[in-house]
Amino acid sequence: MTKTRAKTVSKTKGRAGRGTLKAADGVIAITVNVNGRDLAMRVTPGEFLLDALRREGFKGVKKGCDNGDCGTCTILLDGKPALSCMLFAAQAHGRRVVTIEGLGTPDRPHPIQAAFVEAGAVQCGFCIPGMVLATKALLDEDPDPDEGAARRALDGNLCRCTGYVKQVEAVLLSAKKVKQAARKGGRP
Amino acid sequence: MKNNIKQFCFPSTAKEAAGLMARLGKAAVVVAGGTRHTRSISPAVETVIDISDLPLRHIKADADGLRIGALCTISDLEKSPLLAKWAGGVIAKTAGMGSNALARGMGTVGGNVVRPHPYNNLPAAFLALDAEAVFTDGRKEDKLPFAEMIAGADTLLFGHKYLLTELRVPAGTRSWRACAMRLSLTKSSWSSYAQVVAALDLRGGTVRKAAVAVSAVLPKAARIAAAERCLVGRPAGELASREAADAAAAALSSLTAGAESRAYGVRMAGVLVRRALMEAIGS
Repeated sequence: MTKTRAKTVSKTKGRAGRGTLKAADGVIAITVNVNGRDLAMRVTPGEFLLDALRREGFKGVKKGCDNGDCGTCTILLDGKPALSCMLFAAQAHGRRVVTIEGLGTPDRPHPIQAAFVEAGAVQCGFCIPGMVLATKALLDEDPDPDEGAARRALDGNLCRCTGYVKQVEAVLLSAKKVKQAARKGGRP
Repeated sequence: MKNNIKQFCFPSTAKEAAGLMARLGKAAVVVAGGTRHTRSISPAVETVIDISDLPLRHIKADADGLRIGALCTISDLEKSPLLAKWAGGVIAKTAGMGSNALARGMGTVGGNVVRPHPYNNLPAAFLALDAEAVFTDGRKEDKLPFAEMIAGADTLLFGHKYLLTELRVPAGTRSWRACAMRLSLTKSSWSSYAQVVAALDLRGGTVRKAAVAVSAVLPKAARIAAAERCLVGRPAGELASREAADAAAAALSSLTAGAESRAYGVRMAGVLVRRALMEAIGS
């Protein structure tokens, strides 16, 4: 490394100053905006976000492989899909998390959830929260995806019941339903 | 659950991050995307340095070439309009190869190339395009050839003593013809049998410069000089591509000491070299 040229390090500031979180009595206090509400959580330093969210009652975040392979624990972190089993809970401090509970309810489902039901994309349902959130992230970026884009968006979400055909149809139907809801001044 | 961890630091500048790394040594680990480290942190680690707040998520071009921030996600590269036009879009195409959309959306360029696993997709592309790695130790910024970063004597210091901040690709590679190919069980598989990136600088149909980089077959991605020698100074076409492919397979066979477990990957790497070269020439 002696051959190369040296320069002074840039002092450009980062986007946020989250500082340092230290454990006291084996616990770290964090604040995470979950589904639009600031949530104060006490987590152990090595605890994963998946486990912390489930302990806080967000059981729609499913525990599957626990190793970043299956996508059932997908959440939206600052609007982007993320595997909550691969992130420490403390890493979510000061950030926005959306779980499936933040999209809709059985009485008032989000258009994406309604599309998954209507398309018959749900069998056991275990993988569906992750798929719905992956679909939400896709449609936020590309409101009119083609089948290839739909397949790519779901390629990290494994389903052991079906052959993905219905889920891909559900993504395309979701795009239509989200646009319809937007025209009517609805939630998406 | 990782019970050894006691604190999380969120530095807001590269200098601050590198300072923490220097001060804490092996008691700290750097995380960004979270796809590599979080499940395999050493029991010696008590501090997690989360560098995701650093302003290192840029993809831009200037007179010197392309500059890619270490905190760009692999999806950022895949979707970048600038990268789609650079060297036949080979960086963007390579970024879209392998693993799944979720992992590519979380994983960062830095995590993919610092101490790269043989299956990581990006090192071969940066090797083929003669990239440079820019890094800091907290006191000064420095750079070195990407090939040296992943295979040189100081490679293990990246992520501990040195913080990778940016990758730079020379401006001259913008018009190179290049192609990436990969053979894996499924498109979404992280692991693969072989991955090849071929890049050619053509002048009037003759190869002026050639780069053939292979990964997955060897412990680290590597340029295959024997294949490149078959191409330079010759008309770009089927004959030279075949000879380069044969030379690549022979070199890889030698480098893997003829290991039976690698034989299929070596053979496929040869096939991919020929196909990638032909596609690059035709692009």
